[in-house]
Amino acid sequence: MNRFNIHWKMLRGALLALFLSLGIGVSMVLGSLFYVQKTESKYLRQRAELDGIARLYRTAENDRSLYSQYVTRYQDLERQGVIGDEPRLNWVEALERINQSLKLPVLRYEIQPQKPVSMQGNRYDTKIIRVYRSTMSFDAGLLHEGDLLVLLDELRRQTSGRLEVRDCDIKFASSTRGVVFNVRQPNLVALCTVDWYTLKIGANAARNEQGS
Amino acid sequence: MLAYHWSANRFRMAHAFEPDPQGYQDFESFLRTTPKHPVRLMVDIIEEGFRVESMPRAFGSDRKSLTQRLLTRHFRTTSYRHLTIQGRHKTGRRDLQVLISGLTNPELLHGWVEIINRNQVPLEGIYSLPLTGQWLLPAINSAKSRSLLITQQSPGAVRQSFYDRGRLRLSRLIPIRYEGEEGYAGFVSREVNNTLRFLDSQRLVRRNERVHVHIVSPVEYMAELQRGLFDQETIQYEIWDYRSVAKRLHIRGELPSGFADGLFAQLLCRRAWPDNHYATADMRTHYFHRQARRGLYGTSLAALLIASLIGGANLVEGRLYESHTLEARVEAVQYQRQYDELLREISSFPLQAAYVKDAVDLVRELDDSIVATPEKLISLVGDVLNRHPNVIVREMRWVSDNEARASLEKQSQLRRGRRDDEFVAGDRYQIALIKGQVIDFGRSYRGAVDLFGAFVRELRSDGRFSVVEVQRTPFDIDPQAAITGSSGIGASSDSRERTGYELLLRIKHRDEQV
Repeated sequence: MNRFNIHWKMLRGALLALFLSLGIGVSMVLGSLFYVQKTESKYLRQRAELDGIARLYRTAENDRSLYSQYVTRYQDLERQGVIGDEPRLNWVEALERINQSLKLPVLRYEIQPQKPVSMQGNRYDTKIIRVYRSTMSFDAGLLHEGDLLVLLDELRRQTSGRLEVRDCDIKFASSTRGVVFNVRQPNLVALCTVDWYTLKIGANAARNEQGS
Repeated sequence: MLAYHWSANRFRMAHAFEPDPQGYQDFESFLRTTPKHPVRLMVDIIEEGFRVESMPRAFGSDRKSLTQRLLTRHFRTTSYRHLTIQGRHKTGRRDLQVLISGLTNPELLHGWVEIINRNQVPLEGIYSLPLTGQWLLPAINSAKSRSLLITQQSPGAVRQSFYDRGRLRLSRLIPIRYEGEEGYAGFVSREVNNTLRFLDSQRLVRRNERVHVHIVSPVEYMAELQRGLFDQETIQYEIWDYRSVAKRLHIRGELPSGFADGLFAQLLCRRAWPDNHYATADMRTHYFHRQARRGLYGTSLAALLIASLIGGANLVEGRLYESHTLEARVEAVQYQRQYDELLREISSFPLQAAYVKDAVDLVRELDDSIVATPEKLISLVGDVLNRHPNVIVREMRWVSDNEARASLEKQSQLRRGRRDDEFVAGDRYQIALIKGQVIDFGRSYRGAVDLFGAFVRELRSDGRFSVVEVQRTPFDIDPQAAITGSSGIGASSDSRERTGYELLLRIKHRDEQV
């Protein structure tokens, strides 16, 4: 059986058509792929931009909601001196006013330097929101025990601060039972320790340009 | 030679050419004026021989070599030869059963083939009519038996082909010769008997085996054959009108001649890829190149089609991306506008909203934890003291701070030598250590103890104290403590030391809030 001989001349046209069509086909595929990649990357960039602005918008909307809920209260606390610099002078003035009203025979007080408080296990960013405590101890000569309660109540009311009574020692000045109605002579002495709490917000809490 | 145009399962034109110079010239002219469609050449000539042989089973070059050897042995002088594998022997080495066929006078075909090639007409193959006849057998229900098929393709000769279960074993073309009263039927009967004797001698049929003789006859001989042929002990005649066979083969339209050549030609042309019998590779070169061209053009078209599909799909995808990009841009612009408005609204406040919330929440938590003042405890104790004028308080130490409380509790435990299990983790307490005195009890120590006891019972019966613990009773009667006293007119009526008491009171913050 004879072998089949290929006559390339007979196939020239068909081969040319094949190469041409392969060339055209490959060009079409590559060109279309390039077009798809270009449009896809353009789309992805646009999509990322959209996602970014949408995220900013949602954050801002969330912030607006938070502001509407909390900002009034926050400003109240700032005004009261709970947030911000410690209003030590206010406290002293309040003590003087209270004593003028109660006319206590003796009222001595001492306010310790402010100290930061370590809030164990809290969920707040302690680098931004810091809690401070100032401890005041006072020694008051009282006509009766009610004066102590009025004193503490007025302190709380007039200073509007976060005040916690830590302890109180009350001792009757006289060993006798009778009560002496003399504004210069106390019937009992109260020695109390009180903590004032204040908050300070760090500079990092300031809103950046994007409002978040 | 007869040439037919075949398309859509029908023959369109028939042309006859004589095997002489004029015929060759006419054939060449015919080919020049005809589109160069592939040609299938079927031969029905006397000079075609058939040999049944055995061939050992082999593969690859061995088989090729064996095949070539067999072909050369039987048909040395011709290139028109073919080997057909027909099955295997059931015993012994299970050799292959092969049929070797060949055209013993190649010159008969050579002129026609040369003209075909010269005119670059693709010759698909040269086919043997008897071998093609195998495809006719199912139509006459003879594919599974030993049968002798008698057909007439031209006015001057009949062909007898013997098939063993559909496989050709022998075929010969016999010129029609009969004289006088013998007639066509007598000629056929004589030749059938001759052939059967030959088959018997070649052991291709068993002695006395009944053989089916199928005669596919032109219409004009039907009546004569039916009258003149009778079944014998070893012969059973079945006479077919070639038109009815054509109907059984589902051949549409008129057959090109009054003989069976049209049937065989139809059988051949209807096959998509019939195996070539006699044409060599050189003879088929134009056909191969035509097929190759078609393949290449097909591949080109497929490549373009696939590329168009991929390109089109990519184009659509790209358009979609462009459309989505535009939508995203519009949406982003809307968001930006809304965001800018929102920003203007909230920009008046300098702090981040989350910290504002945290600060407010933290102060609220601080408020919740700062609840203790001594007021409630003093009031509770004061209420009970008012009902017990003989019991007075000299000193009270009140604590709320955890550390101070722990210190106080420790003192208490050390003093009493037991643990207080009533503290609950997480609860906040306030505690008071009260030191006082029982007064105005006359000289009755028992009376003083009773007055103090009544005071303590009332404290304990008040549910708001979680602990009322007596640290020291007036006139301590503990066997471990020493008792001193004086009696008589000169004795002191009430010593503060002896009538003093100490009480530890504890309330929970939540009780305080009740």
